[in-house]
Amino acid sequence: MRLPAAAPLVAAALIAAPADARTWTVGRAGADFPLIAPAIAAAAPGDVVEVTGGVYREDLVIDKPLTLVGIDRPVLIGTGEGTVVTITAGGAEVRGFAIEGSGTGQTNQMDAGIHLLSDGNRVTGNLLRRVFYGIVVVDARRNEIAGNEIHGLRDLPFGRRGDGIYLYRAPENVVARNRVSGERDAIYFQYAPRGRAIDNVVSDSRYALHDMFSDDTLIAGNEFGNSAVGANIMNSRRIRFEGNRILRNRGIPGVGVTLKECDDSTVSGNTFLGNLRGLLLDGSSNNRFAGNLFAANDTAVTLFSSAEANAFGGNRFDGNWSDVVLSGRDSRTQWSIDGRGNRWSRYRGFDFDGDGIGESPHPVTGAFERIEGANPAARLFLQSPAAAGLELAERASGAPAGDALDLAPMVSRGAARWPASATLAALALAAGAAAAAAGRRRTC
Amino acid sequence: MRNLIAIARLELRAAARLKWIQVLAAAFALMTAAAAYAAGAATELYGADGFARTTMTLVPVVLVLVPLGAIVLGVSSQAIETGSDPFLFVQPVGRATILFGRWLGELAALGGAIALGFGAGGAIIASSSGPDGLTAFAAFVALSVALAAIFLSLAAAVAATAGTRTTALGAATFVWFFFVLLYDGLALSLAGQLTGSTGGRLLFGSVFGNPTDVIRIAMLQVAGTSNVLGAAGEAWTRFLGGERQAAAAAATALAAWTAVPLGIAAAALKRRDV
Repeated sequence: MRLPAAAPLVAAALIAAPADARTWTVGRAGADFPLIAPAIAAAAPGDVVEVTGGVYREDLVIDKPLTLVGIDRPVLIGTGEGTVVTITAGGAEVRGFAIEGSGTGQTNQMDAGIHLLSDGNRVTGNLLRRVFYGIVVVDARRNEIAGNEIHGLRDLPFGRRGDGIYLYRAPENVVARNRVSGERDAIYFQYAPRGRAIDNVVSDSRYALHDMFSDDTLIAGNEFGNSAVGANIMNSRRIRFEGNRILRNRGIPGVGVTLKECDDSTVSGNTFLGNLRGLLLDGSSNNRFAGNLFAANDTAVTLFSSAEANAFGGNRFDGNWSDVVLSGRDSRTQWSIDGRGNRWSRYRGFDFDGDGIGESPHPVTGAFERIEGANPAARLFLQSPAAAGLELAERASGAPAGDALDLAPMVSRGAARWPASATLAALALAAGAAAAAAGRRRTC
Repeated sequence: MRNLIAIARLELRAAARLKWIQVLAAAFALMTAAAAYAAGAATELYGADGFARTTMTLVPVVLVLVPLGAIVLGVSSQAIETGSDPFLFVQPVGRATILFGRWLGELAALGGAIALGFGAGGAIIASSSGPDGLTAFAAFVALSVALAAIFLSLAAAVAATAGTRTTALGAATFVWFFFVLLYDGLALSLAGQLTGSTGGRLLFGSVFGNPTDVIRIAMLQVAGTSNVLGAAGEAWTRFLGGERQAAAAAATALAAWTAVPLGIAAAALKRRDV
């Protein structure tokens, strides 16, 4: 038997909207109810509750699989205590609301805009503001939190704010396309393995992304910027951190991405731009860093000696004040992967045979960075002519420049670079010559 | 007072005619534009950090060129010559007045060159990326002028104590080399050996022994990208007892580095047989 081509679609439509599903209306002229809670009470599982714009002052508990739809962005203002919307049923959906007025984190109860305690719910396209926590998922899996906008209590210090999206003991949830700002931790996976954070845009928070004890998390396509730390990933394994943009994280401590006690993870195709420190590895081993761009960071990569056997290949280091600082002894870091090293704007070697790989190895740390690795206070001498002088002197003397080497540095063909130090030297010489000439004239 | 101003104006007019001062002003403008262009290569940062990143790039250049210009200008004007100097010194004008007047005139000339050069460069940045960070850039320019003042004082001290003009120029060149390169090189080498909190404190203390370090740190903290010195900068502020105390300590150090050499120069000049 051959089914018509449209049959699967028809079947899907039937499943999505069972024949007996009913739409309840709230708020508009001639609506079924003036408030939302009675509509939820009246609705049967699978029903739709349509709420039209306006202000609703109530806390809601969604205890059956309903679709709660806001039309013209109705504003739901909670009682100011505890959570505004609690979802205890699985398979519910909340979309299109502005939600505010949770508790303020002064008590022990969960003060959130939306609190999910069940599996397979969808929370999409909502605006959350003036709430302590934005969206919290506890002991629940396979929820989708997408396209929401969440503004934290940005006028408070970090310690007194809540988190934007907080997942606790909650595996396999998806957090996608949300815009979050002004939080303590904007997106926080805690004991939440196999989750996904995709295409979110986060700014002005303490940690744009925080991941603890959450293995196998996929973090991709996000923008984490203008926060104290872009992504703080701790005690987790097999993290995939791909294609994210890590921009201008310059607070204190000011790190783009921290991996602390994280093993077997992949960090690839990300852009680290303008961070105080782009990437910091502490006690993390066997991780792979490939195809990332580190540009215009103060320090691109900081490695503590507790980070062992990590590999960097195919990354580009361009215009950082410092490329790599090794704090303590280097511990088996590979600066190339499968014979492919990294592209360094500081590389001074040449590629005579034109295979794209420089003929001489590249010491990944300079003289100044090595001193800073031994004594962090030396950072105080950043941009001093002497630091540049040490660098030049070391190169001129041909003395061994540390044991951290990129053995296969990549070189762009025909990209001869005029180093900044040479410009400096040339200018100094020119000025000196001019001064000498002027001095001679005056004596005459 | 009138004599002081007359001498300062005379000095300013002479210095402003110097070709190399004019070249220096033009060079500052060009370098600012070039550094802004380089900073703008990271286009995504340009709007927010255009001025700060430009400043960061300019800092080492300023630390080399401004002291050099000040040393050359200061020595060539303050060193006692056999030509016109005996004529000036027999006038009914105090020697200290001559010294301070010349110092003021030199500062006006060099400070003017710095302000004009960086001002033109800054105007280019402001016109292309907006005025965000303009105040911080102005502070950077002011600190550059303060650096010029300090090295003009050092030059005056060297010129007043050295026997001949040639000795003075040689000694002043060494002073430049010492403060701009040697001192920090030694401090950094020491820092690599002395780790731990003692090493840190020693390094922090060493900053006050070199006016270019005080200026550099002030430039980075006031006009560099935010928190540019990171944890070391935090530790430095704590070492000095807080932000206000740190600013006060820096200001005091800069004032001392300007006034003390000038005082030494005045004292030496008073005793000197011209």
